[in-house]
Amino acid sequence: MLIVILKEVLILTALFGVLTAVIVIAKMIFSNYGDCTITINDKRELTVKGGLSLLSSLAEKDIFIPSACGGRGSCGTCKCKVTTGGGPLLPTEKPFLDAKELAGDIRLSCQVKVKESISINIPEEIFNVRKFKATIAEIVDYTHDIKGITFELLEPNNIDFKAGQYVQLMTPKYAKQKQSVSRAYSISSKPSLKNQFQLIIRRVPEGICTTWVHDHLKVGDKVNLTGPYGDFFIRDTKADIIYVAGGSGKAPIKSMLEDLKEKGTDRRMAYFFGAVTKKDLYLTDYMEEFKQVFDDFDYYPVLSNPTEEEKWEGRKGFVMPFFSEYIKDPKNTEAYLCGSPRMLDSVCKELVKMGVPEDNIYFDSFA
Amino acid sequence: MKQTTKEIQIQKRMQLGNISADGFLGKDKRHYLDIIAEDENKILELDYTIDQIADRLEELTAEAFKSPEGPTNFGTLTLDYFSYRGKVTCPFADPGVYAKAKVTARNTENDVQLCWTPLNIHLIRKHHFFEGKGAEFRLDPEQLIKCIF
Repeated sequence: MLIVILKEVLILTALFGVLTAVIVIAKMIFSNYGDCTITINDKRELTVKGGLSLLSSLAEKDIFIPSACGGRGSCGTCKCKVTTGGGPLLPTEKPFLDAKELAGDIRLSCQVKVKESISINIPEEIFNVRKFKATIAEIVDYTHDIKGITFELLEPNNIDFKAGQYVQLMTPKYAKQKQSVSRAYSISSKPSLKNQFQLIIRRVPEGICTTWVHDHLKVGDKVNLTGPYGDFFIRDTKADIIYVAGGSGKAPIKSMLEDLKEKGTDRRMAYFFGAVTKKDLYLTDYMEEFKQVFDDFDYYPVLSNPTEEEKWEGRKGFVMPFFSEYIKDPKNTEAYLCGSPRMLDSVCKELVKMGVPEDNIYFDSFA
Repeated sequence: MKQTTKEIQIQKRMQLGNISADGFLGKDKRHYLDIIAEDENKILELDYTIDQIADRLEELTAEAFKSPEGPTNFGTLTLDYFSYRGKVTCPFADPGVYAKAKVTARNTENDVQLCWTPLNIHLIRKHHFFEGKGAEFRLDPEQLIKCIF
């Protein structure tokens, strides 16, 4: 009896062994897509090993499409046009694409698997995005929940960006965090500083990256990041400019003003900065100094809820009611906004109501 | 308890450092399905429904959002909406992203105060998930009902 049972166990084990071998071999044969070609904008060809996502395949060749979720298919940021190849549209992509995008062959690059040669279109600016290693040169506490961080570039040791663009900072595994994540932050320093740049980072409750920055990051630490990204930069026109920011949204506006200070401008400009209480204000004197730099510039800090003890005598409430103090010719006004989605929503509505053309309103796409 | 691959992945995404710094389970050692089951029973016991709670949270969030200048009064509640740059994803891997924001509510009649996020509302409506005990944005059903109704 025992021999019979052992025999059957052996037969079953052998059978499972054979089946496993068949599956492994089949996987090797059918999952091996060999070398595939990715043709970019009809002029650049990359040879990649098939099987990875388009997002990862491009990243391996140092082409970084922005992604907020690290390729999990949950943010919908890594869109690009796939003209040939790429396979059928997946159910995981559909919720992120509108009718126009669906008709225009837009796909999520993290969901498209490179199994064959593929042709894509991506903005030329993406080729300027690089991976950087940097060291932390300085950390400054601006407010109780906002820090200014200066990064000194190690490899490569210089960066080209337009004032207003952002980088994606990668966290290492820290404390109990088991994986690296990347988050977008606007550069706050001027583009002419090639070997270093600054970010302004506000603590977000439960934020993986901001908790790392605020509680663990030290001067001298080495970090990785990619960039620059984004099309939030000052358009070269003669229009009046209204800047509106809140919290860490001061970062790209600071970069823009520092850049204009170097390049010179005679455009009419005003900057409205919204905060809750006096303790949320920072770099106020520095911003006021731009009044001496530009012919026609004003800085308006506005507090929504100052405490009585603060004895705030400046503008109170939300920033919008004060726009009329500055906007004289709405059709000839450009708006550059940076802050929370809620602030952007309210400010955009007000500006449009005042007659500022929607096409003249610019803000960070990652907010 | 035998788990499906999907459940294992969800449980993993709820751990600290995956989607949020401290995760969705807090100090709760239970499986997320057990947390959901207990909270569902509590809500039944209190004679409310998940949709009633989610509808009310949506209504209050919209009210708080309307007041950019700070706290606003709505019935017996004082509401304050605070938003941050960036977005967060769902641990159940539903498509879409949710604004990084929080609404603080204080019931002036009983002084119960708590806060929730746009993701909380989605987690409650779609997954009946109020987060684990000790999690930063755990909404205890009993306290929540006391506060918002």
